[in-house]
Amino acid sequence: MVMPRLDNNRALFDIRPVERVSYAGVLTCDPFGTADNFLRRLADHGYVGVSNWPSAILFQGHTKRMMASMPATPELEYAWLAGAQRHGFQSLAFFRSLEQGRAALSAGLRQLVLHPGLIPQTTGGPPDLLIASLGDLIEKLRHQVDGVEILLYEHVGLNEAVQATDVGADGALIFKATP
Amino acid sequence: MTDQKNPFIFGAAVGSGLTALAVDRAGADFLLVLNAGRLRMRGASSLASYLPLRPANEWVFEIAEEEILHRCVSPVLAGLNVRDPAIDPIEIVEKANSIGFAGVCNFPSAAMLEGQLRQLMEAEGIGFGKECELIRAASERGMKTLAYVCTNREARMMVEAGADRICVVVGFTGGRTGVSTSLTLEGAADLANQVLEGIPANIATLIEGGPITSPEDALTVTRLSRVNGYIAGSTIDRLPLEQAIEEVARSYKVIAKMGRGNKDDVAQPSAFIGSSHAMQTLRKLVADIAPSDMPVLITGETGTGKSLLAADIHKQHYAEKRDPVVVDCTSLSRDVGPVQLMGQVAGLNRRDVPLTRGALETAHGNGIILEEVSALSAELQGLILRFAETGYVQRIGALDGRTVNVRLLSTSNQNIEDLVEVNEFRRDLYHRINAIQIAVPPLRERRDDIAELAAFFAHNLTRNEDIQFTNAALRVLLEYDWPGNVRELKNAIRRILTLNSSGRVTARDVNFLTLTQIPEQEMPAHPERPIEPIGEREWIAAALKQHNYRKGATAQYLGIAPRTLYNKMKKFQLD
Repeated sequence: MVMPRLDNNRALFDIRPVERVSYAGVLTCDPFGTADNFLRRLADHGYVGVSNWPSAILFQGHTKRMMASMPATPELEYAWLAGAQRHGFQSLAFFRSLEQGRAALSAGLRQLVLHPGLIPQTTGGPPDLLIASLGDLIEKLRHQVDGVEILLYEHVGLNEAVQATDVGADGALIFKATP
Repeated sequence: MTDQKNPFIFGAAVGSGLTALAVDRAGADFLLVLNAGRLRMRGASSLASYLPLRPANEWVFEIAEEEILHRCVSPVLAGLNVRDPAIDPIEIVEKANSIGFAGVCNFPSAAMLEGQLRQLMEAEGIGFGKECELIRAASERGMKTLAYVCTNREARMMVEAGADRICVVVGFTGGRTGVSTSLTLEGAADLANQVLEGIPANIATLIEGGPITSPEDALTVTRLSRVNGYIAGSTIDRLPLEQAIEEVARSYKVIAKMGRGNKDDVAQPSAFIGSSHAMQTLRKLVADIAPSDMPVLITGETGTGKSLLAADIHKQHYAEKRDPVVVDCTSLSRDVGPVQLMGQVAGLNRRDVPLTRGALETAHGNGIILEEVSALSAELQGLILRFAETGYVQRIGALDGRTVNVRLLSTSNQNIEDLVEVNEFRRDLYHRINAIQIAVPPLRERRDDIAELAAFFAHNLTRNEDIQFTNAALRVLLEYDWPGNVRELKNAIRRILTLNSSGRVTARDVNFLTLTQIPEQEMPAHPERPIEPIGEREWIAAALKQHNYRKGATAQYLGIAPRTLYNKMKKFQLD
């Protein structure tokens, strides 16, 4: 999110979606252009779903307050995804906390991806406390709304010890680095 | 304090040729080309510099090569991003040097980030540590170096890496597309001192962002802290440009309105002058309610035109154009007020007392305007209530009365609901007279109309002469608060045209408004003593000239006694 090394949204058109169901990871807080036009272009290009990635869900403390003034917040990302749903897109909403998960549900989103956080790589076995807290978070959100599907973001660079089955998620969204 | 320090350094963070050329001509000590500068010129926040919108380094190189490097005298530094594993600090410095940059700086910096995100960046080798490598590479290459830092640790790391200039960032700058800050100038100075503690004196130290939005602010912070320079980003392009463009655009709109005002609006009653949204809404409301018989209460500050509006509603309602019966409620005394309202039978108390018809009866088949209805005494409120409920009027002393058909229009400069709460106005009467309420906004809340009103009054007062207002004069009129509302504006225009018969009104003609406007908290201890207007001598001199120095006519025109005029002429040596 805070790496100005490419034009994220333009890059989405440099690759041709090859999977049957392809989601575009969208920088939803791009201050330029309009969502309507952008979504039309995504559909024309073959995308059927969108996701809030890169995302403001990872901002903390001063960085979070600073970026919120831009504005770049999870709530705005969820509103953008809800708008995309109205255009016929499927959506995957990344979230990192219970508060963010509830905000996503409030926006009408039902396919969520839990990010375990930018935690350092654990050594010496599964981090029980983290797994328990993520499992509890998923349970609370399931109780809030029926029919919600929650995946776990699995990224070996973050923490390979935490897997979807450990936390009771409905599945995993796995990071694969492109060559 | 600054005298004992190194000379003040001024750097400008830019993102376009226009800004760069301007600050270069103004003698900036150095320029920084940043992606943030370009984003500001596109109407985004500087913070967007962190977002993956464009490859930052390629963008900076492109802007500098095409628009800046070959056109500026000042040294130009490149703001370079190293938050990408693929970027090699040495290579990127070499590229900057080959393009013609005099130096580099670390931008957008990880220094402004915190939390797990920052920790991960440092762990992955793409954080502030890598920015130090960038500065080290540039220093070893013999290029100028400037390091953005937020903490003392970062400042020390950058000095160790070879930075010859350290800039303490005290947050992003506020404003329309900026970031809000709670930091004061003193707080910024304290923060800078903490960050720069232990930094060698030979290192140039600067500050940027936060509450510093003007040269005066920058000077204040340099006096309060050890920094001896300032880097202007938003404060050199976004803030002044936004302000200047808004002012110029507003001037174009004002001029257009002046033109329309001279040609089209003259026939309108002054109560309706104005194209503002507030006045458009008001005109529509009046058009909607005028045909009905419902009582109307018009509220608003003094001078807003309540009575004119009431008269206009009356005019739109009654096709036969009879003037309404107008009752000034502030002048209804306890003794004769009931008679003035209800009338009285002949011979009441004294044989020579004639039959008198009151205002309510006189208004039969017509409309009545109760001006400042909130001034009615409790007894008169009772009389009006009975009339408002039944239309029945009984002259004082009569045994019976008659029912009349009158539309009731009331005005008030007070909030009658407040008076009802403290039992100074009858709630039942309030509901009777208030079937429809119209609030006339004060002039300060419809500033868009000021130019049109000024043109309207100037046109009328000069009997259709074409009076021109300069933009500077209009700006003064637009920025004044007009506590006396439209009435005050009309009087001001009258005064201006009395003193200036050239047909062109300049800022000098209207400056008396800025000189006499005293903030509420600075009101004198004896507000009943009138404030002598600034420029009174000129006012009187012009009036004398206009009346060929005939003192009687001049005094009458000025509304003062001849003796007062004589004394003032003596005082101002006009005799």
